[in-house]
Amino acid sequence: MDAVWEQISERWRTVGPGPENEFAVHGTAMPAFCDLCQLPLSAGTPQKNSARVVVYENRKYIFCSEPCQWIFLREPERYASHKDVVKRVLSGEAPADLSRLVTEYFNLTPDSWGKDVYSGNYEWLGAQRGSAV
Amino acid sequence: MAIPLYGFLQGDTLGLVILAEEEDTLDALAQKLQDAAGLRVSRRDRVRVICNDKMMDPAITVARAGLQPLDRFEVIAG
Repeated sequence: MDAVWEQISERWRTVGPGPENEFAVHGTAMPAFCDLCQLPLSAGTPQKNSARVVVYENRKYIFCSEPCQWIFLREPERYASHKDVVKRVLSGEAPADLSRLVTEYFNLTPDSWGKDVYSGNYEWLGAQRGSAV
Repeated sequence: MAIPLYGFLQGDTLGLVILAEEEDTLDALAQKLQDAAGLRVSRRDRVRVICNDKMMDPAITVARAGLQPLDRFEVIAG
């Protein structure tokens, strides 16, 4: 995780703190979500990655882990028809554009969507900026 | 034709949905994933692509690799 935080910190250093700069540290690519628990699929490193794709009745599902796959396959009729946000985008039900997805599909506004607590104004970032000068 | 794939990049914290073209090489596919994850993972010049637990030739296309919509692939340091 250190390398990830260093990369994000570098972006904050580049753009500077402020709520108007938050999107500079947000990814715009759509994360993948587990078809059972609906949480984002985490860990890209293969040794730590337990995601698996399963075909059920000619449709593909992706699960974050073996337990989620197991739960799904015990009662597939309960879960199979649910479309996660990725599949809604791919089917055209939801817009692919992140801005439109957030504002039009989820009806979020700058006042209601989640924010960085400190808007990138972290003391340790400032200390590092100071020490670099 | 665009093909949505689940991509996992070594060192990243998230799996991402990547739109590939059938004629993209796997090397180009890996670059797309690196671009998409660039906020969190610094770019590597040499990477390798794994599909279905097999190390793939980076010069072959997505179609030749047999990747179908909503399949997964991994990109690791080369």
